[in-house]
Amino acid sequence: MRKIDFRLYLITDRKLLPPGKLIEKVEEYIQLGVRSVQVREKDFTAREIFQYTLQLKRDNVDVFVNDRADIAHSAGVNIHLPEHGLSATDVKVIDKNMLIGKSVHSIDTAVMAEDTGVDFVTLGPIFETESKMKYGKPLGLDKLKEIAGRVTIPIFAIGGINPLRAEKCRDSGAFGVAVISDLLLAKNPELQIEQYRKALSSL
Amino acid sequence: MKKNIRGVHVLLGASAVLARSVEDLAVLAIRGGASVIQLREKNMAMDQFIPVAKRVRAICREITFIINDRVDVAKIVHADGVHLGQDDLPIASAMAILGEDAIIGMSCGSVNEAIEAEKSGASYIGFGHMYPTNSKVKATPPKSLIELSAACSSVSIPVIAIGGINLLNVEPLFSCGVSGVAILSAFSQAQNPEQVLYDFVRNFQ
Repeated sequence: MRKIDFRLYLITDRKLLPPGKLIEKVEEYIQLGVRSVQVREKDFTAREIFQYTLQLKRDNVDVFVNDRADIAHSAGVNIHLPEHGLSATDVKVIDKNMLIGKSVHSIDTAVMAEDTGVDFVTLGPIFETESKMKYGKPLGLDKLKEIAGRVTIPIFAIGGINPLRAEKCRDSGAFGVAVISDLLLAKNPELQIEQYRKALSSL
Repeated sequence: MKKNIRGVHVLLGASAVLARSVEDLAVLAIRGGASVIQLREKNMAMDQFIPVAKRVRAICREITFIINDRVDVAKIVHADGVHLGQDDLPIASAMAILGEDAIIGMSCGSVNEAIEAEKSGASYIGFGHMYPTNSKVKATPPKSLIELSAACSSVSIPVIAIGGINLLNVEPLFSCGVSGVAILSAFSQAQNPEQVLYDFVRNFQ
C-alpha cells in the first residue's frame, strides 16, 4: 500500500471563483507546490468531472475524484468517498490500486473507515465554517485529538482551516489539513502557501 | 450471452412512487412483461442506493437490469449494463469497467449521435425525447417521427424511443422502426402499473 505523503489537501469548489477560473487556480497552486487535489463539483455531469480530472492529472500530484469510482478509475486517479458514499470494499471491486480517502464526522465513522480499508480520512468540521454548517457544531481540537488517538490512518482536519489553525491541528494529532476557501480565495497564493508550508513542515 | 434489449424498457427511480417501493414496481414491471428495467437515481446517497440496486438486481433475475449513468454501481451490483447520456462517461470507459459483454445504452437526440454511439460500441440507442415530459425540464423540443425513423434506419443496433410515451401516443412510434419503447411515469404513476405495462407489451406484439 502506498503511503500518504502529502499534508495539504486542496479541495475544489469552482463556485468560489469567477466562471472558468478553477483549473487555472488549481494549476497555480500545483506550481506553488500543492501535491494533492480533490475534484469535488457536485452539480457537474460525469463527463465534466472526467474532463476536469484529466486536465488536472499530472505525475507528481495525487488527484482524487469525489464519490465516483467509475470516473476516478477511468481517469486513472484516486477516490474520495463522502460519508454516505460507496464503501471501500465496493471501490475495490472497481479498482484495487487507487488510494481511498473518506470524509468522516465522528469517532465511530473514523474507526469504521480504517477497519474497511480506507487510506486516510478528512475529519471535520474542526472549526466554525460556512461551507460545513450542515454538519453541525464544530468538533474542536480536543475531539480531533481523541479521534487521532483511536485510528492509525492519517487524519486531515477540515472546516475553517487557516495556516495558524493548521499548526494547532497538527499539534492535536492531525496528519495534515484539507482546505477549500482559504486557498481558493487567498489574495496572495504564494504567501498563503508559504504559511501552510511552515505550519505543516511540508506540503 | 447478452440479455434481451428489445421490447418495453421500464425506467425506475430508486425512491418510492405513490406509496409503491421501487422493489414493488420492479415486480409489477416483470409481471407486466417488461424486457428491461433501468434504475436511475440522482439524489440518493450511495450507501442507500447500493442496497436498493442490489435488491432490484435480485428481483430482475430473468430480465435485463441496467443502471443509469453510474458505471461503478452497475459493476458493484452485477447489473447487465449501464445506460449513458451524452454528458456521462464515454462508452469506452464504461466498457473498460464492465467488460465487452456488458449492455451499454446511449441516449441520442440526433442521427449523428446515434451513428456515433453505434461506432463507439453502444448496444442500443435511447432516442428522444419523443413527447413533452414532466420528468425533467428539456432544453430541446421533442423529436419528430421523421427524425426517429431516420435514426432507426441509420443504425443496425436497436433503437428504443423514449420521453413522454404513454398508451395514447405510443402507436405512431411503431411504424418508425423502433425495437422498443421506454416508459417512466406512464408506468410508475399508473393506478395499475402491471395492467398498463401489459397493454404496452400487447400493443408492441
